[in-house]
Amino acid sequence: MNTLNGWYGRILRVDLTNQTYTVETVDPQFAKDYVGGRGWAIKYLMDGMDPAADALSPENMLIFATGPLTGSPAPTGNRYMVVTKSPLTGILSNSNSGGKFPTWMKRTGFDMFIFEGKAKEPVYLWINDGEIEIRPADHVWGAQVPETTDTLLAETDKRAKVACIGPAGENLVKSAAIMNDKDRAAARSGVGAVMGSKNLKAVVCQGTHEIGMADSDEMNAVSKAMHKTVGRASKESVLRIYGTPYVPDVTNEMGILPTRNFQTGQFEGVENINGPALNKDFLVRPGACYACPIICNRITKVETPGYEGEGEGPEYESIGALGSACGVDNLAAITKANYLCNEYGMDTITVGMTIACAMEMYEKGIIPESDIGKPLNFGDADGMIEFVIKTALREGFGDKLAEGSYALAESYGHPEYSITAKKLEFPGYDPRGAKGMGLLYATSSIGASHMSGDLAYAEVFGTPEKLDPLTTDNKAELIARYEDAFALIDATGLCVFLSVRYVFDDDVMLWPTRMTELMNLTTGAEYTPATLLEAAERVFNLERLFLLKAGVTKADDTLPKRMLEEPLTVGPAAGHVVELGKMLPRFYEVRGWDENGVPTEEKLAALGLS
Amino acid sequence: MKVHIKLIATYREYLPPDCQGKMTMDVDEGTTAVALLTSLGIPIDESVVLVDGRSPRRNDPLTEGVTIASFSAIGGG
Repeated sequence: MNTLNGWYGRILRVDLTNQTYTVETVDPQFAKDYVGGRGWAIKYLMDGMDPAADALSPENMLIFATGPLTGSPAPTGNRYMVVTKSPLTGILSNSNSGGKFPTWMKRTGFDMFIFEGKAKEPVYLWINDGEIEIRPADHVWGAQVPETTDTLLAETDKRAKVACIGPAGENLVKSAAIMNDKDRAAARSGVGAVMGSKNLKAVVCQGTHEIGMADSDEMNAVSKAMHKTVGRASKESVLRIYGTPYVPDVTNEMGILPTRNFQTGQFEGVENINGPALNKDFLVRPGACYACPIICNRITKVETPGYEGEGEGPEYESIGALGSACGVDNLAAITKANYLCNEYGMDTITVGMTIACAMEMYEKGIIPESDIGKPLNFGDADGMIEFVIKTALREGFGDKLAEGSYALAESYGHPEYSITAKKLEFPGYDPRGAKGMGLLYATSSIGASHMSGDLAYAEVFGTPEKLDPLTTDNKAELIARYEDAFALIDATGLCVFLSVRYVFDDDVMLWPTRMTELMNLTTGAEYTPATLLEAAERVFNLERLFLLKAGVTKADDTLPKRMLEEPLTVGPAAGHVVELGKMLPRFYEVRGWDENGVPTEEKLAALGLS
Repeated sequence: MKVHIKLIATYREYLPPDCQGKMTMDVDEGTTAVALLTSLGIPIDESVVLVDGRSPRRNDPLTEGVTIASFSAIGGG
């Protein structure tokens, strides 16, 4: 393969310390072996920095990476990855976002941006096709995400798209997100704090470059047919009509809806925070990312006095974290808190789960009222909102919340109340009632992330088939495959919602037949399903090597005591804990890792990583 | 015998609008969850079926007082 299609093979490397940039080209074999997006980025991160470096120091690298299908005609080809070392977890961060910015980024003629060093004063990057400027950003420093976005569009090009941080990122809040198109978030594990530590306020992209296609006619035809099929199937679908807020009813029924900091898995207020409630009171219309026929976003407006606002969301994860996990069943308040997270630029999951952790520790008498400044009980909707803002501003007790739940709980001598894996807060599936998710949280490259290999599709949602969520049988094999499949999705630039259903075979082991077709029509790289999965496995193993060099050991591949030793007491999963010890040794074996969770020499050699 | 039905999200429309997806029904001994949901018009092959939160075996007869929940499998979180 001597010429590149799908990839430009061009990387923009920005040295923020010296305010200079270079353009680098990519070897075609590397392009193929690491696929793109999350795959390319981990290779550059591994080669370019010490994984043990301080995440908020200039030595950390911040990478924005598109995949070969980003900006392609494929439905949902609108994703990018932010990859860096996480200040929240001290390990890897790879955080995904959609919207329009990723496609606009690709249109600048680069596959990837690498930010290094630290600017002396706040700056933003303006890329208009080939013209690249590092501009002062003092005038938007301190501004929230919507104001920053509008100001920068007004002084660059109204047609451009913006990714930026809000005050939370500037304040190095460890749950800070990088927001794009105002309401979309590369949310998890504090990527916004890394951007803030570099004094980089925003990246603004406009461009007219079009990516070459290996077989443009066929790719257009296949993509058009997919748009039609998916569009037809989505028209009356639950994701179009209710969006992900349909999920609280599902997880509550299965007894795995995070409630009061995972003390239980069923919430008495669920009917106040579900999809029908959102549609009835706050939904304006469904919204879509670029080129997406699924249309799952929620455009909402709240007119309830005290909670007024408008924007996107909340998604299921935000409802779980800011709602049931905090014992809050006031959907106006949850939606308001979700808007605030978007405006200040924060991850709703870590913010909500950290407040939930504080509520439990307050109710147990571990955190004194004098530290918080007021009572903070479960169910206190206004208290929850107040501490979302104080987290963003690091004001009062918010300064402790801004460090995330693990640092908070540890500082009071009780890390066990932080419901995290590798210091990343759990998403909205209590793994005691979805055992595969427990193994995923314990072994994902970034900590407890559902997006790293979401077996909830099968254990909870019945796609491609319903698996028993309470058994550990075969979960090691499944999680290894789901982690690879999701690494592949993140490398290509497609959305998970499309991918699980339409680019893999209709089989629970997720074989990427249709993905291979899309990738070959785009890149001409002659992948097979097996070589694509092998590339994903290469990416996952390289991420594991990053974690090991950052100090992770087998002892970190674990879950909080509550998940391992305290059975759920109500619902269909009552009596269950996560039997991690039954799954983890087998997982290491399936992965070709030794008993300490270290990839063997044979495995690394087979993947070309030795 | 009496059983409870809980239809989630888009499946609420298989029951009258005022019951918000929930209904208690009298069914014959030996009725299965699949048979009951099929009688309401639910497309079983595209659906998740739960009895008291667990997946039933296809031919398991319902027992007094259980809750049968169902939702579309064309989703994701």
